[in-house]
Amino acid sequence: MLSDAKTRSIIIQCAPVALAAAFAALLVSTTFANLRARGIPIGFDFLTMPSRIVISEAILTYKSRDPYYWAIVTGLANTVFISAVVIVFSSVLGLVVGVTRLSSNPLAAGTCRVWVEVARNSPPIVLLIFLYSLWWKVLPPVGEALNPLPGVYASMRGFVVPAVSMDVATAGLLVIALALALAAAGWAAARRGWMPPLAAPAILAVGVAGLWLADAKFSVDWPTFTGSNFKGGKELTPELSTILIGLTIYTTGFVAEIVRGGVLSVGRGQWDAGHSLGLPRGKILRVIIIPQMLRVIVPPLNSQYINVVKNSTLAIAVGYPDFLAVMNTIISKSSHSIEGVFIILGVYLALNLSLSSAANWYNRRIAIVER
Amino acid sequence: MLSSTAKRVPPMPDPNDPPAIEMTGMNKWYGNFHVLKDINLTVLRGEKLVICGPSGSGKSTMIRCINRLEEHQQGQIVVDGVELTNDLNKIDVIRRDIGMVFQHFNLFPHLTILENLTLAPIWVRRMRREQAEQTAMYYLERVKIPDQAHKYPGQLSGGQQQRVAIARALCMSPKIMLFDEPTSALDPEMVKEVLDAMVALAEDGMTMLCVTHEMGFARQVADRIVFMDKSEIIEMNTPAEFFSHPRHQRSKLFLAQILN
Repeated sequence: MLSDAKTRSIIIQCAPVALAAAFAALLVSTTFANLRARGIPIGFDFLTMPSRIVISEAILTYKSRDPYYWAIVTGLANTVFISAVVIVFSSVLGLVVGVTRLSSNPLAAGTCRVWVEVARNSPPIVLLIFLYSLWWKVLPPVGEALNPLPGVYASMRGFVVPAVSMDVATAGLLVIALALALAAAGWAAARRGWMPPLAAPAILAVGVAGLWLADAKFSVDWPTFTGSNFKGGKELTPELSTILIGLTIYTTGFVAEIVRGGVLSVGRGQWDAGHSLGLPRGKILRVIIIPQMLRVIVPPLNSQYINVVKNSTLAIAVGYPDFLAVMNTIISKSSHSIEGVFIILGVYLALNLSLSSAANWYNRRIAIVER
Repeated sequence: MLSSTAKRVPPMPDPNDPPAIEMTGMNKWYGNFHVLKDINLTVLRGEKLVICGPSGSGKSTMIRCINRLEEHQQGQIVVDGVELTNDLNKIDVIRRDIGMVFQHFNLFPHLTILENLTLAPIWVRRMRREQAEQTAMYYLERVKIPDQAHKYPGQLSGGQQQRVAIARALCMSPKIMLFDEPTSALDPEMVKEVLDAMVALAEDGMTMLCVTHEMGFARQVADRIVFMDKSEIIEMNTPAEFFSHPRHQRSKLFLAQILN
């Protein structure tokens, strides 16, 4: 019976699985026994208890009376916010930098090359600490804040920008109006084949006029200097700004290289065909090269997006409370370290698997049709 | 096929008309390699030229200079009265009037056949979409594949793809058509359908420059044959003369090799 190929392969596969299971059972039972012997509680009950930890800044509203689970959600929201902003900005910048590196203009190509090399060859934490230390060396004290744009101030204490607030109904109306205007423009473009150059300002004008006619309730909160600090507006602390700018610079370097590889992966024949039809360079890039490049760059790009989520944990280096930093505080405060580590692992796994499945879905959608 | 059923007499090229293409003293180098040596060639309106010669002789490079896919370094190229310089506007004007068909088709694989055909008319000629699609269908019918309009290039055979490529170039209503070894990448049984489309085009009086080794096509269609070897034009003659009395040793050698 042992000479039967099928039986033998089942035995060979079962043995290691049984061993691994036994080892895991040993680990779990020992851990539980030890924790119980030391009187350390185990379980997820603590999540609903008040946390009494301080989170220095948060996208969501958080007070130290809130329970642990809300502290976790607050940290997660901070991480998701950082990751989303960095992914969006580094994708756009990476596209521009990657394409410009292939430009025949030596100054533009050289500048982008320097960016890529600096970003790719420095550890991200060095970049973050360097940027963070610049904050107090380059920017003036709050009393002499730089005012590059109306309502925008930059000082040692970070950025202050005007805050726009509107009620939900107004925001909804604005979104619907813009969607309608965009749809109309898209329809016209599809019919005529091209977008009239004044379309974008016209859409915006229609949107604003519509809001004004509908007597929209929205207000802009302009920051004002009160003598010791800014009042009103929206504040971007040096910590948050550093992590956003630093990670964006860093990730852009990698995205740019992926984009450059993507553009080069589309054969020269496609450029020849476009040129021979009289299409201008920018048009060839937009409608012929970039759509074909996307299917090549989505998988490596997805790896970079996952890296962004993982690198967001470096926020701890500049003192921004991201998910990992919050979890660390929770673990030391509650002493539920094993549960905490499982939550950390589970959350990063879930975030990155969602990114991957989104990328896979997109990749299938843009696949080239073959016979 | 088109060529046998409807034998039209193409208008004779008139030497008194201003020429379609005029190349004088044209030279080109790739680094130190002299890829085109002192090219002098005048192509009349409605003339069909077949350019042949061993591989690496500069045939493709020469016709790619005509629509500035390659830059020449010395001499003059005048297309339809406009000289090719670094002036981007002139390059655009010239490219609009020259259609090109490539060895590897170079269709846009992410667009349907119809989108391949309407892209340039819409964006370069500013044509309305319906009108561009009508033109596209007209040319797809002329190359006998209107039923493939909504497929993607990857779903078509090589011969069909090359006919689409011809139709795509024609949609821009070019005055001159360049063919760069249009049948070299095709399976033998598909060569004829592409050549038939080219013969039909020739019968309409299109100015054509074809780099090809299809000597049957050259005999049937060409007004002149240009033989190139080692970066130079060696011999230029009517097909009858070229095939029966090649003047140069190198032409004789080439013909002996290709006709056996």
